[in-house]
Amino acid sequence: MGGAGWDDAFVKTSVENKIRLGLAAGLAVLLSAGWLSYHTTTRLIATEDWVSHTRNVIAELESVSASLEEVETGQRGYILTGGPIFLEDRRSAAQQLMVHLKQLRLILTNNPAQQHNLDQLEPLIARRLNLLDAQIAAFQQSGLKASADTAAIQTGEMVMNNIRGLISQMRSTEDNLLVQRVQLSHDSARWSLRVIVIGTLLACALGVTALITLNRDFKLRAVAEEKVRESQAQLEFILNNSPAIILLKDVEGRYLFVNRRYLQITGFSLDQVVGKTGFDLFQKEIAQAAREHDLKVLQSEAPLEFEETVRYPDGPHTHLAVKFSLRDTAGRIYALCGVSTDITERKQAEEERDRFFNLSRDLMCIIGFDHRFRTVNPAWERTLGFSREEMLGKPFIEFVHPDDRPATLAEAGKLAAGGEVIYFENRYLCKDGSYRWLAWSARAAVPQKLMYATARDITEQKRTNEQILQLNVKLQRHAEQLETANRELEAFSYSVSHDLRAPLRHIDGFVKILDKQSGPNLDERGRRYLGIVADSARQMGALIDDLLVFSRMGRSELRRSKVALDSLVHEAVEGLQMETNGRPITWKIGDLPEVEADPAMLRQVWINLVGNAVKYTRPRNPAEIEVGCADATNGEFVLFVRDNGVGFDMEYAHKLFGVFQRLHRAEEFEGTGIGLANVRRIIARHGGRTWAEGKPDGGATFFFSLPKTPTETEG
Amino acid sequence: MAPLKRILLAEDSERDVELTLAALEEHNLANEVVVARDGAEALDYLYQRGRFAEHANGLPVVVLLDLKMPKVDGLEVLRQMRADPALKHVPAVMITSSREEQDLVRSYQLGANAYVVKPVDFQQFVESIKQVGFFWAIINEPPPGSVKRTG
Repeated sequence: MGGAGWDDAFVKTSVENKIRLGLAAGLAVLLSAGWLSYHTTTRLIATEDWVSHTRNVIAELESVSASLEEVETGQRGYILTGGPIFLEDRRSAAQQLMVHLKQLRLILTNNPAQQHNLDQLEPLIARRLNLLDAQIAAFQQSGLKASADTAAIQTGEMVMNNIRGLISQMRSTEDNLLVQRVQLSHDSARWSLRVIVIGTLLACALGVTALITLNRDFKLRAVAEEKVRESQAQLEFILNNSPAIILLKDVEGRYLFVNRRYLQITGFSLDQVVGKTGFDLFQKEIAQAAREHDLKVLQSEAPLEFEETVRYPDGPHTHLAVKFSLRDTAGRIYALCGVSTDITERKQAEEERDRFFNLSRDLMCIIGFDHRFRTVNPAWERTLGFSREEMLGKPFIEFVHPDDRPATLAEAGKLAAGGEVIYFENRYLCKDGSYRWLAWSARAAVPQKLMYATARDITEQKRTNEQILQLNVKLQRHAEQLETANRELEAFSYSVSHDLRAPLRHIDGFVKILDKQSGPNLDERGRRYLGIVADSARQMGALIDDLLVFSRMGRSELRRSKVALDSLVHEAVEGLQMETNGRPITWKIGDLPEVEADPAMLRQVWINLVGNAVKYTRPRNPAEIEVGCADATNGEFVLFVRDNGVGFDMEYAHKLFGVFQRLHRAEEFEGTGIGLANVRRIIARHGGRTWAEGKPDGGATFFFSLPKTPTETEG
Repeated sequence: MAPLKRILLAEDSERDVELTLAALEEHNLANEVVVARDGAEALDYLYQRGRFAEHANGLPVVVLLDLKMPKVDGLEVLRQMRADPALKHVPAVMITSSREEQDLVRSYQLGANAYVVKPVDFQQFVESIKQVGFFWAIINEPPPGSVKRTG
């Protein structure tokens, strides 16, 4: 209810009160005036009665006087004439006199003073009548003379005078009374008039005031009603523009009002809806569900919330409906109001969040600062075996391995202080009594006093790590053994280079000295033997040297730098001058690239390959030796040395690069069989490959490749 | 005529001593060759102590050091010589059968004047010794006071 409505009620009460008050006041004034008028009029009538009463008394008194005069007149007439008619007049006048006297007595009952006068008058009148009767009797007996008794006449006259005096006195009293009473009557009349006039004026004034007041109030009421109309229009506008569905039903479930949103969604018109129930408009189940909700609301004091399915053109939506009952001023429920909002999106988001929470393989939980579980996701049960119910409300520390508890509590303390746990491992108890390793990360919502934590089961990882660690230890041991073996090998080759050659050196040296000193004394054969001994020693020396080089090529570190291959080739060719001297050799050296390699080792490669070419072309005239780069694509350089020498059978190509493998007899071509093995080893250590093509007596081509981007492999 | 300065040869192998002397003889180098059979003896000679306490013939014209010897090896002798201001300038030539690069590098690092690998071929060894001998014993001007042997 808006302020306008309240004002409206206020104005209404105010006007009604004013009207009531005005009416009551007017009524009171009119009643008082009426009562006063009645009162004064009654008094006026009373005084008027008294005036007429007095006039009656006076009239009766005059009638008594007149009747008495008539009695005397009749008496006199009878006596003078003796006519009986006079006597009859006199008798009827006497009767009249008695009637008037009786009347007088009747109307003077309330006036004791006049009663008293009347008490005196009546005997006087009776005596006079007796006197007159006596005169008549005297006349009838004794005639005229007898009736004219002077004494009697005098007495009669005296009585008559008394009567006249008394009546006059009474008359005078009544005259006074009349004057008084007329005066009183006039006063009353004036008073009544005044009361009536004043009352009328007051009533008029009240009426005018009431009219003015009412007029003003009616104007106020019109303004208030305008306000009410405006606020109603506003309310309607709000209701109709609300994105929520708003509806009003009576207690029977019939629609009283629905807003525009409702009509938009359902496609109904207002006329189709108002007065109908849900059962008239929707499927039975939906209507039934809504009706059940409505009935609950009607029985409830407070508003209730429900989730309801609403059929939209694009399918069912979830609505959150707030319903409450409306009561009239007497407190009786007369309607039910529903406000229903589309929460489909929120619902979907919630479901998605819940799904994330429920499907997560990681363990998620919310723990209060009281260290008790508030929420756990299903991953907990899947991982530890404890159900949700078994965990909620329990202190988490009870599940932690006793050894891990101090560290765990320290982490929880950090969280409560606003810090965060980035990675922390501890062991959690499983239902079967075993423990699993969990890796935690967590943050706290400090104002809410809640810790949000996720954990991952790293038990398997730990196990694997342990295995890796064990393997590493083994590997380390192997590496150490290997290193020891290597060192031993080194010591061995050192020893070989030193000690194995010493005897050879001695053989050669002493043979030479022997030859020098005793050669002349030996025969041809003896000298030849000495030569063979020396040759053998030298050959063995060469073998040992080559073997040492080969071993060193495998062990020594690669020292890479930028190497111009053509200059290396030229150096190698120059170095072979001893062998090439005096021989017809056609050299053809192409453009060679610059590579990243160990120069000393590559020099050895060229010396070996070019040396081989020189050696195996010895029978050729001219010998042709070509050095070049065959290919520079595929991320590598392919280099070659080609000769037109004795060549080889491709059948044995696989043996070419083996240690001590030879395809020629030493008598044909000297050599130890180490050179190509060395080439292969060096190239392999540079990440390249070696191969050869040739045919017997058709020359040979030796290829090797070098990656453009240096890689190193142990060879 | 003062005698030619001596050559100190430190070599544990008797046969190598003989061959070395033969090689030196080949070139008629008449400098007296003092032989020390290990590094310790070589140092004794240089510091005139022990077996050589009585000798007072001054520093050798060149020291030929075998690398691998009992007690004190050639590299250690070289190290001590180069650490002593008095011996610092005495030429030292490593004569060894090792072709190990690390031996060579280490020798030069310690201040060896030359590094001769004893080849199996005696003739080659004779050539190498000839180079060394000429360079240190004959071609080099002896310090003032020493007199070249003639004939």
